[in-house]
Amino acid sequence: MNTAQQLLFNTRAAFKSGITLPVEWRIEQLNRLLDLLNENENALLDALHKDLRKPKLESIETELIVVKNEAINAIKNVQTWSKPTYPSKAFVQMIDSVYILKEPYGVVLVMSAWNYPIQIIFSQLVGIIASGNCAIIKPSELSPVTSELMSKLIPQYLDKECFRVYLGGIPETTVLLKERFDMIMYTGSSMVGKIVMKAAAEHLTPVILELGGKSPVYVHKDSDLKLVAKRVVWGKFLNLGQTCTAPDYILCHNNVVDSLIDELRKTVEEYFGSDPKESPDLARIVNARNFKRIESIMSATPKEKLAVGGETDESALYIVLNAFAESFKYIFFDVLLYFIFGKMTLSTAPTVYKDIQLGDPIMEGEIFGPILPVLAVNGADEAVEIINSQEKPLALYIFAKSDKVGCNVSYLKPPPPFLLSCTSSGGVTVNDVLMHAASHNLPFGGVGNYGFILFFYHYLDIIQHLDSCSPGNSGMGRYHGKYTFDALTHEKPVVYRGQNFESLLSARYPPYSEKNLSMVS
Amino acid sequence: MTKNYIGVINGAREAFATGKTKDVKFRRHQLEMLYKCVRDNEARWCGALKKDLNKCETEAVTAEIIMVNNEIINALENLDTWVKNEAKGRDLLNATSSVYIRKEPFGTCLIMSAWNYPFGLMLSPVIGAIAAGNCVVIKPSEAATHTASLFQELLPQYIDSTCYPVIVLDAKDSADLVKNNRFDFIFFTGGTAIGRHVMKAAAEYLTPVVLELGGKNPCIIDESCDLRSAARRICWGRFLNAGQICIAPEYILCKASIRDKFVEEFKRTVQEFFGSDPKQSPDYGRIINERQVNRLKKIIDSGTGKIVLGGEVDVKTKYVAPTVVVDVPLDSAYMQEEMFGPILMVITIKDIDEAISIINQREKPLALYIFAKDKKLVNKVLSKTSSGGVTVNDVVMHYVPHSLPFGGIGHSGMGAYHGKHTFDTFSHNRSCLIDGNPEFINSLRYPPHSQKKLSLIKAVMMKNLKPKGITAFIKSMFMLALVGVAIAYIASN
Repeated sequence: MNTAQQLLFNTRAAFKSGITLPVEWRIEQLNRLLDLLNENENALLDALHKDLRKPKLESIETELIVVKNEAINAIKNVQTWSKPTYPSKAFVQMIDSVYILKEPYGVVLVMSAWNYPIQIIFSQLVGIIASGNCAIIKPSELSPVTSELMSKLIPQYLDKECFRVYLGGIPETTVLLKERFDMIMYTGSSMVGKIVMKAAAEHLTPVILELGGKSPVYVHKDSDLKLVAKRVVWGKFLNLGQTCTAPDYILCHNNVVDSLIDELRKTVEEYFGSDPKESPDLARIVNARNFKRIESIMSATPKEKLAVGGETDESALYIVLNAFAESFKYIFFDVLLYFIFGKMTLSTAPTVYKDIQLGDPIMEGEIFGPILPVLAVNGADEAVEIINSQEKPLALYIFAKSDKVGCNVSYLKPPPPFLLSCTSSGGVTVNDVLMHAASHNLPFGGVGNYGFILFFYHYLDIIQHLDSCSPGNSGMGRYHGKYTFDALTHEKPVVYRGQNFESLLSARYPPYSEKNLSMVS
Repeated sequence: MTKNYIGVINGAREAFATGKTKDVKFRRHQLEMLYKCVRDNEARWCGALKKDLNKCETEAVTAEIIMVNNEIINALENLDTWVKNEAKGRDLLNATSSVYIRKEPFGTCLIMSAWNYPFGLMLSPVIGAIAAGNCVVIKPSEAATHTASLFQELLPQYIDSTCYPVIVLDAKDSADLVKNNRFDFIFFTGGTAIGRHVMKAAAEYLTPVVLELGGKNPCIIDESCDLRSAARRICWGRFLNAGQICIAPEYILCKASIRDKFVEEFKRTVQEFFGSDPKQSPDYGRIINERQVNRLKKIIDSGTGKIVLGGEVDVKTKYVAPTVVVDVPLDSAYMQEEMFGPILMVITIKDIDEAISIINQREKPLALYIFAKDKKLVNKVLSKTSSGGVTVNDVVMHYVPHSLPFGGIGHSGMGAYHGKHTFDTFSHNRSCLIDGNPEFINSLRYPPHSQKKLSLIKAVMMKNLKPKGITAFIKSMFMLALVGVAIAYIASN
């Protein structure tokens, strides 16, 4: 047995022992998870800073608070969630007891992303613990300091047999995916999402894929542009654009596009100062490969279209050593690099491009970085055409004062408000960005190429899920809060009958006759 | 066979893009027409089922026609409620926003059915998919030739054939269908091997799938139960459709002390139901085709169990006798794949723990049955095993109520449907938030960041585990009052 097989074998044995079934045990584990977060706050913040130079406020707001709230919500509600439910009965069931049992699947594989490394893993773990599953967690090798820290802390606080961390890069993950899990939760790019789903198909393992997308923003001519700028700039440059629900591109009404660009420029300066590189409130690009990707998008875009920003900075030394480390693919070297060089490099200034067209290179894949293209459109109809020509995004944002910003769909009377009826997306926020993912009670996930098996998670926080994504489809499945519990639970229906009333039932037995038939009908 | 099925699929996609299936009135009308199609042609549907499976009228009506009829009525009665936006609870952060979920169709869905209940298993998911506003490519199993033909003939006469085209493909085109065409959702009912192939092909397009597969469904009989009623119920369930039903009890687990008595009762029941020569009974079905008959014959000929009833096979008439086998080793030919035929295995166990162990060594089944008077025993089995669904003291019945989600787990499938669950399965729940926050709350999150802003954010957003009760209430009231004062202050400025 290789390491992956051994790991799975042991975790499955822990699940089979039945230890995760009692609700008291789950509550105790959730409390231990809270302890982990509370007692190690500084170490976690520091790790996030080293991996992504994530500003402290962002780390707390978008990662720590979110996860703590999830845990608290689960602790308060897991008793209710795990109880059997009693749905309505049909006439023929009047003598039966009919109910649905909530059963865990077994061993869940969690493959996480690097952009919100703590938030993704721990939020999912909350749902896994609450639903009585066990887990093997594979954090991203691209956020090595945080991953290393988690591999130390998780076994210290949670049940070592039930929840294990498996570190590794692509070769290790490939080996792991050959094995059979009872459920796989993957957060990341569509390209890898396909690989995960194919590997899962071999074993008929259900999957939850939180992928990404090009989330559009439509700005109608009646909007308060100052407000739009404040919200979009905030949402776009959070985590330096490395958020799966980040507003990717703007479709702005012709009449107001120039004023909007002015407001965007002013807001960028307001938030990050005249030299954004010096601002402590901006994160950094995660690694050289992504930096190069963003740089190439920028070089492919004509200089005359540049409206704001445009500067990049990359430490040559960092690139050389990083290449060395990548060829070895050992976490150790990455960690060493981080300790030597920190994350002060690989920055790209918040950048805005204007006069962008649909065919431009910047409109090809998900940007996942701090560059914001603005396209001018004639109105909602043209915006809808552009949006629908792309893959379904994870999120759609609409800024409009009037709720009549609809689209021309003559079949539907009265015409539906906003662009909602003529487009599809994982979720929507109107007059703000990211917030639909913040609501506790709303399911978060993608659709079409951008999502599979939504799972809901429950957040009180401003930013949520925030997964790494790259060009492709937004996923399947949904989570947040109780929805995570539901996604990880098999609802097993039970019809409990007595052994009497045999005469009532015998109408269904052969030999059949007209009388039988009419009685049953 | 459908020529130019790719053109037909594209037609459905284009139809979806026009938005017409999003109109609830349109969906309602289509479902009403489907209802007519079912009711006006009841005799013809039964005729096709008889030709395909020698299915007698009673089974055709009770197991297929009535099921579909009731699903359509359920959908029509509840459609207006199902399609409504679902308002969700708000919290302090979203107190002045509108928070809800829109129920949206996925787009163009492919629904592939099986041959054993070719009418019911085809239309049941189609109803929910139509109700949810999708366009649907309807693909009946080509093995049930008469029923597939009838779908091709009748459906276009009643429902919109561009939005809901029927395609019948040969084996080769079927295999390539999912690989070469992108759908927004795939619903498949059939065998595990093909299920795997469907999911792998769908992965290339990241298309979500629901797979209704099969398995070997165990049936535990405890000594405390009434053997006569158990025998009757199990006999009924095992020989429905000549055993070709995914939720039939496949193998019995019982103690040696009751085995012979059970087998006696069972034999008596077969006689009561089908007479002394079941081949003559009009109420006993036939196997779908020769290939399947030969598969079953091979298992019977393996000689790896003691046949105590039946065992006769007539390939020409596709007849397999009601058969019972005892002394079956766990690795015998009888215990490998899903039987999907009229053969019942009886395995003796020492105690309930052994039964649980045997069940858990195998793949998770679609259904699990247990006959027992002892509630504690039942609960022990239910908590220590897993299956798609369960019926206690009967078989098949958990399939019936609309309120119960029907589906598998592990190799028996993923996803569930029936009643509203079908509508939910074919709906994308799109989360919507219409922001109404006062700007001063939002501005706490904007850079440049400060410790002060951070403390305010924590105070507003962070939940607490304790305290509960009056102190928490007072605290939250105080917070709300603060917010109110702040709003008033800002407003007055």
